[in-house]
Amino acid sequence: MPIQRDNSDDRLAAADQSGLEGSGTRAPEIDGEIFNLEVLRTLARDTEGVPLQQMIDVFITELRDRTRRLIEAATTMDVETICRESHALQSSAATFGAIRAAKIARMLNQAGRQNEQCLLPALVEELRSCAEPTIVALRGVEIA
Amino acid sequence: MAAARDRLNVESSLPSSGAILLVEDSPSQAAVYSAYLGDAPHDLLVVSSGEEALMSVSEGRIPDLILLDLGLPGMNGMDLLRRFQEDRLEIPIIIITDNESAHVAAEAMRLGAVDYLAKPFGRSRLQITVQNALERHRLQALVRSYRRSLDTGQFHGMVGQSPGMQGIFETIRSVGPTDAAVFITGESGTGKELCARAVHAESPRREKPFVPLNCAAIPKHLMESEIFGHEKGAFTGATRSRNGAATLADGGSLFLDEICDMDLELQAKLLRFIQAGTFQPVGGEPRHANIRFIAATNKDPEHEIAAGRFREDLYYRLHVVPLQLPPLRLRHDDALSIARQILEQTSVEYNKRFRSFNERAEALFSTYAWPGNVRELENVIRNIVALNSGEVVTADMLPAKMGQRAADDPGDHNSCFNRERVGLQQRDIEPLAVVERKHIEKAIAACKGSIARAAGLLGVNPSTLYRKRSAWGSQG
Repeated sequence: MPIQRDNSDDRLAAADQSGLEGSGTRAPEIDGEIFNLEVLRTLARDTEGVPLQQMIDVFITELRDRTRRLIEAATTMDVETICRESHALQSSAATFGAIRAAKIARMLNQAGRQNEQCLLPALVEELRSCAEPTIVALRGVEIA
Repeated sequence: MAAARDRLNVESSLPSSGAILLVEDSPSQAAVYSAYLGDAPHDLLVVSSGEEALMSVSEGRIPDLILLDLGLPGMNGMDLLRRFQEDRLEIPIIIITDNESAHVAAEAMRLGAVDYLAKPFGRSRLQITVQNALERHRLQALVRSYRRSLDTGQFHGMVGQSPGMQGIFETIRSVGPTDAAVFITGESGTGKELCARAVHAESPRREKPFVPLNCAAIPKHLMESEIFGHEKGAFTGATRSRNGAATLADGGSLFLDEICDMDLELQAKLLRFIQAGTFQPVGGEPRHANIRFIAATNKDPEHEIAAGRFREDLYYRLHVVPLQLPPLRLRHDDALSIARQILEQTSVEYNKRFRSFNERAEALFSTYAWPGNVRELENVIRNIVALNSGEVVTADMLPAKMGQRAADDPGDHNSCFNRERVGLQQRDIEPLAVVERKHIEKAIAACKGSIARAAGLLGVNPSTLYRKRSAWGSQG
């Protein structure tokens, strides 16, 4: 699986500036830890033989890509894309222990499916805010 | 520790192979599932959309199993399932869905998915689900294959629904995958070579050569060279080196037909070859060959041993798995099935329109004793198709010998016919000489006057026909 590194952080920030400023409605309270180390430990055991960091890199790239696409979709209220991207992100984030990102993605998916469009910009903003600390945390992970 | 033990248990029972197509648009999920399956013996192909999956299958890369994420962009998983169902693609599909989509999973199962995985799931769950689906698919394919073979009574070209033949097929299925030597006995014409080919076809050697050698048909002084080959100049007339059957069959199966007719001196060399796996071409250096031996005879091997014509030690080397083919007279119900199959094949071969037998002809086929077994039956059908026209084989097309023997003493149990079953009426009986003359004349007419051709099809010498015609001419 090729590992791609890009400048997504900058693009995420740019998309945030252009599309989500002044969105008005606040997102529901999202509490709890950013990620769960135990989930990653289980993943490391189950994928013995494949370097965990390699898979984490793949996930980080996917997290950035999907977050960027969600920010873009939120600016045009493309609900179908929001539903699809959030649904995919919800699963992959949960697999890598990124439980806060998974939770936000799940709420996004629900809001999209229930056509609660007013919640979408704030939830996407929550995801954008959560993405970077999640990436930092994942990069710092060391599994013995 | 327990997890490691569970993992070992899963791995030890995984099928030996299986090509898996993973349809997953999330790169990270695909990486994780690939890692879960990484140390299992599967070939894994990952595609990220339904369209790619369709293309892969339509290009002939048919997997043994598909792992399908339902939440795909573009053509979603449900669309793909419907498409596979429309195309009647018989590949087990396991869908991957999230925990909240129970109704979606149910719908997918209705569309033909064999199982589902609810996210998130771990390595053991994935491996066990894949293993179960592959195993179930393998067993279903096996059952279908057995059912087909039972329905048609066919097995590698052999036909037989009788318990005796079904037992033979079952033994071949069991012994085929081993390297055990097989010793086939049966009367002439019972299909010993076909049986040997079936053993080879059921073995892992099926892609390698099957080399038949008739030990009775080759002169004794040439037999050693036929089996082991020879080097140039090894004997008078050996102008070039030649590989023998042992070399040609390396990696495959060597079928030694009429083994009891093999020269005793050569039997000793064959025994050494079987024991050591090495042989020596005439005038050459020893060589090694990996061969599965299948031998056959129409004689009683133990009688041949007692008479000193067949080595006992060679017999026991070859007689690991015995297969005794029943004569056709002991499986009357099969005679008609075989006749129908040969009629169909021969009609195509001879560009004729024969489709079936009428009731009386069927009765004759079922009750005749077939002393020459399947070979005789085949000759009779070929003769009928060559000499007659129409769509239905009638009793008057059958060879005289079949009809005449029915008229023999009904109490004679050695007769080729059971009179009661045939229901032959006395008024139907014609003198043998008349039937024979009619038949020969029809044969000559069908062969456009060619005595030689007609004689060949009738299985007699042309001089016999000339003599008979001459006699008829003098009778008027």
